[in-house]
Amino acid sequence: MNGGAVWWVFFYALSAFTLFNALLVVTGKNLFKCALHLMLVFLGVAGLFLLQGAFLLAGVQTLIYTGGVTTLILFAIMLSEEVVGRQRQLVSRGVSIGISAAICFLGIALTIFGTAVAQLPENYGVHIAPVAQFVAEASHLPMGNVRAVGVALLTQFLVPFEFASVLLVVAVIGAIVIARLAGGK
Amino acid sequence: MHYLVLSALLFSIGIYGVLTRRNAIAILMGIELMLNAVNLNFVAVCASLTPNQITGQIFAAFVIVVAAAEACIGFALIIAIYRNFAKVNVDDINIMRW
Amino acid sequence: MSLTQLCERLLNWTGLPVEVWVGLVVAVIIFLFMTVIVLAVVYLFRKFAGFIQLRLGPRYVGPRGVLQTVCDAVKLLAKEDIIPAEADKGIFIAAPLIVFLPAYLAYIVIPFGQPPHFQPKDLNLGILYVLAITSITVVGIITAGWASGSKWATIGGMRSGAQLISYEVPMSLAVLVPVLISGSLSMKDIAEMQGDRIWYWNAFNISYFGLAFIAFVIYMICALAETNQIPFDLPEAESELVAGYNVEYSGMRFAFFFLAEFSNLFVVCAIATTLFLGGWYAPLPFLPDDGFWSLLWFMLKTLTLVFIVLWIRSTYPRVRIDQLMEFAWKRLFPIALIDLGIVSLIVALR
Repeated sequence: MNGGAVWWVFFYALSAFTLFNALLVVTGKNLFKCALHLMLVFLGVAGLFLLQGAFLLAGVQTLIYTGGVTTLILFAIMLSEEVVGRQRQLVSRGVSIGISAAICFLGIALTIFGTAVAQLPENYGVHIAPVAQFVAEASHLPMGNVRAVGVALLTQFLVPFEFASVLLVVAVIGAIVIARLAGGK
Repeated sequence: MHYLVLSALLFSIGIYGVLTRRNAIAILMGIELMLNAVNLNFVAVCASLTPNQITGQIFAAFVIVVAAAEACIGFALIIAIYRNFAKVNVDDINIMRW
Repeated sequence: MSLTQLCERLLNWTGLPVEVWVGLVVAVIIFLFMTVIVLAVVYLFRKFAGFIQLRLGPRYVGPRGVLQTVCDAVKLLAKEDIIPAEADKGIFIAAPLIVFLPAYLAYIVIPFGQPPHFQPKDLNLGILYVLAITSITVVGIITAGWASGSKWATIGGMRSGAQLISYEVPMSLAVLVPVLISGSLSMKDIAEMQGDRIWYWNAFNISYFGLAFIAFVIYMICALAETNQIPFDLPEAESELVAGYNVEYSGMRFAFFFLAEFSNLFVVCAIATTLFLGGWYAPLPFLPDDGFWSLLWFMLKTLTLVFIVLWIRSTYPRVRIDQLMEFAWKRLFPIALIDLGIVSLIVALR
């Protein structure tokens, strides 16, 4: 079995896993379960990042999304629902509108991709790392190198980087203020 | 192409979630799905068009930062809304609509 | 047919690359290692706590009671599996696994001895991988509390969740200090950077004016909180808080939480050893530290740290939740931040 085939196996398995859990997120009846499926989506996306050789991004995705955002969602659920006893069932409304909007978007996106791909080289959107390398040397691919990302962040993208840090500080302070002042306390 | 299709599918699922859910937390979960789809696209396109550069990953990292800030503020708002209204269904929060 | 030939035949027959099989074998070895370590640490803890509290500890099963923890483990596994009527069954079953898996996966990057033989896999991301993986534990704990369908467990889960994410912040900042000093995230590189002279180890290196030692202390305090050890063991406060997220769990599922907790205790001490105490190196250059000696040195240092934790555990009372949170955000966090700032200045100016 050559590297490419294993790569595709990984890719399809992860894609199916991600999409399946994403569907459960938007159709599930139990909000808490939806959040747990969302965590699995985040993990699947991290795996897909790994397949592209974006190791640092996969780590950051796990740290921030799986560890951070999921926890935040769980806390929000527990603070805003009747956690003990009967859970409120989630209801969906306007399912037909939702489905048609999603299909519309999918159609537009695929059309655009289709026309764009016609002008692009073969294998567009796929970067195949040989699987032997993937398993054995997962950490030493040039892409996703921590140092490269760090250098790029502090030279070429310094201004957005600083803005991002300011944004985070503002967001944290804002969140504290909003959550604290609410309810007149 | 496969990554593009995958991320388009994920994005559509996110749109569906945002449009059909009534619970504000579930809507935010749909938005997170869409952001993840965008990130996938950034990384995949960058990896195939310019394999030696990491611009796509940097962009994805910025998206993650913005998403974290968005989630932080969003859930703070939800908690504030819950304290005032004792519910988080977006249809019921229409006090501004006089 | 010799054994190697047989293995080769099997390999060819399955058609999978050899790395997959190596990975599987390593996974099994790590699991066994983890179980043995946890059983040993629990036994040592009981003997040690007995010694400190003027008791004898386990005595009857096996010579000096060494098999006591094995028996307890078997007892736990053989217990009736109770799922509360109010519990959300699927999530209730999944939660121990969400807590256990990160604890298990964290072993992959730890250099137990001289790489490559004693380190399962040296990742470029190293310590970031560990932080990312262990951050999933919080989800499992909140989930466990929620899925139990009991208000004690739910409130306990939120309490533990708040504790874990609060202490993750100063812990990450403290971890960044050795990362800055060695300029790498890889566990192997960080350990190799310190070398076999005790005065070059990060915790004792005087060229950082003791700042790295402060980071070490902060890391260990956070490690106590992350692994629910006294004085931060609110989930174990049966008398005043009715335990915590795990109050509805029993038998095998409880064993998973228990295993994860003690395994995490070992892992955080092993990480502290790698980051601050020179990893597998001997303290002085003339002492042997190659081959199995490196494993010996690593375990010696790690178990010393484990003993310090257990010593604290059998000596101190536990704190209240408000004291716990205040300590993290108003004391540890500023100290860690200032410490990191000064260390980065020193590193930049050098």
